[in-house]
Amino acid sequence: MIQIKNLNKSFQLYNQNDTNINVFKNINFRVNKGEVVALTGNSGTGKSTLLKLIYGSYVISKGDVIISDINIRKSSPRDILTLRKNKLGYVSQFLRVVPRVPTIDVVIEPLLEIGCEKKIALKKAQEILERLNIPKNLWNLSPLTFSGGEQQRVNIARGFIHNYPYLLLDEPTASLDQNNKNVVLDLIEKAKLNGSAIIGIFHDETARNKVATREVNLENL
Amino acid sequence: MKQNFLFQASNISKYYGQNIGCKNVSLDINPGEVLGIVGESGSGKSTLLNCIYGNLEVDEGDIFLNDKSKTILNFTKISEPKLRLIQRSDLAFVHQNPRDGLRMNISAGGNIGERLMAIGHRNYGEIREIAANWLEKVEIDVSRIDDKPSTFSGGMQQRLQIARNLVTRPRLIFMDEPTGGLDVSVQAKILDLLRNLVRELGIAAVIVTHDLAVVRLLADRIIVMQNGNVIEAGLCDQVLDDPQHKYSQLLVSSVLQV
Repeated sequence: MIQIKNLNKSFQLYNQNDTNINVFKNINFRVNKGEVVALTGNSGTGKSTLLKLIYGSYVISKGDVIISDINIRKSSPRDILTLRKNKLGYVSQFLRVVPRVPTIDVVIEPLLEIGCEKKIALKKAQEILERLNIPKNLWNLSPLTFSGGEQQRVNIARGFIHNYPYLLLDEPTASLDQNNKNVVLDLIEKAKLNGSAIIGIFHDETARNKVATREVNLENL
Repeated sequence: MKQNFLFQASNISKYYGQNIGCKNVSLDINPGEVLGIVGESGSGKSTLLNCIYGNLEVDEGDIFLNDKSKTILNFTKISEPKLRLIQRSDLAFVHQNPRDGLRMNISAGGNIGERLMAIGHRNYGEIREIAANWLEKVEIDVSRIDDKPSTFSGGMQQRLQIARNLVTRPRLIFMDEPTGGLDVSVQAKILDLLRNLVRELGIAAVIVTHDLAVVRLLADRIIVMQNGNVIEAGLCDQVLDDPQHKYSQLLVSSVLQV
């Protein structure tokens, strides 16, 4: 279960006239196993910010994020890294990888990190890349040369190659064609049935309605 | 002190006369972790690195290594020869300029083999075989084994320096701007190499760099230095994406977006 308790986030920008930006105040909700909660609200309401707070990329100003029994605000960097490696996945909109590393190696990395044998990891990577319609002749090329939609699918492959019990999805279907969008929605559906607790941002309403079990609107909180 | 730690520096200070090199810096590293040290020129990054490696004598503080035999050694208390031995076996140091870390007048194979001999290897055929193996690992054509590094490009020299350092299977490697003088495509190759070696061999690393893109790709945690002090420390992406200190915010926002 993911619990969000009285969560507040503000940014203090020291070098820009000490501006203080309040993103949101007192967010409360929880996500159970097998649920997909869709975050909604206009741009700038803090949907991506919330995902980054849960993932530990942003510092919590006030309140708590609790994932299984781990309180993110009170966790050391090492504890957060262990949580990410084993339990908490995140699919961002941007692909950040070492240049010139082949796609297949980018995709197997999360499995190697948890000590999976390379042979098994490669097999799983091939399966998921095939499923996401990444042509085989691209697997040995760096994804940095790919189109936006292909890069996004590489990110998705990385996020779904391991069965994370907790998953954060930032616009996973944004730049995909209908066919690939459906593949991704199927992957989310499967993770949901597997008991993952998922929080996602889906601007595409049809996609959202298809997989979300519930919506949390950040404007009404 | 925790049992599984690999390396710990506590309250390290180094002064150059009236000037502060670094002040009251503490850090600890577990096996397999990569720690990045960032900050602008003159912030004390390299001073700190040289202090904790044992190259520079510290004015205050202690440095502990949990060595291969699980004995906890205090660098400030052990003898000079013992420290040199530790530096060659458990530790390694990769210089920004490969010329500082290589012997330019002996062959590439000799550069790698010398390290093995220093820790007791004597069989020439075996040493040569290991050297060839390492050249392959760092993607240098094995046919160049008898060539001197002075005939190599800068990127090749840097890869050779990494091979020379890793051949003795150190458990902790210190790197001072390892991709600093290299062009971007060579940097990528070295980054990839380092990441794979860190993962495959379970080596821990401390990397000093002013290149935030490099730390983002390599480091688990980072510390930010300014005027010899650590002003912020934490999870790599957290410090880069949501820096809390005024100076870290300036540092992160000064990077050109590519």
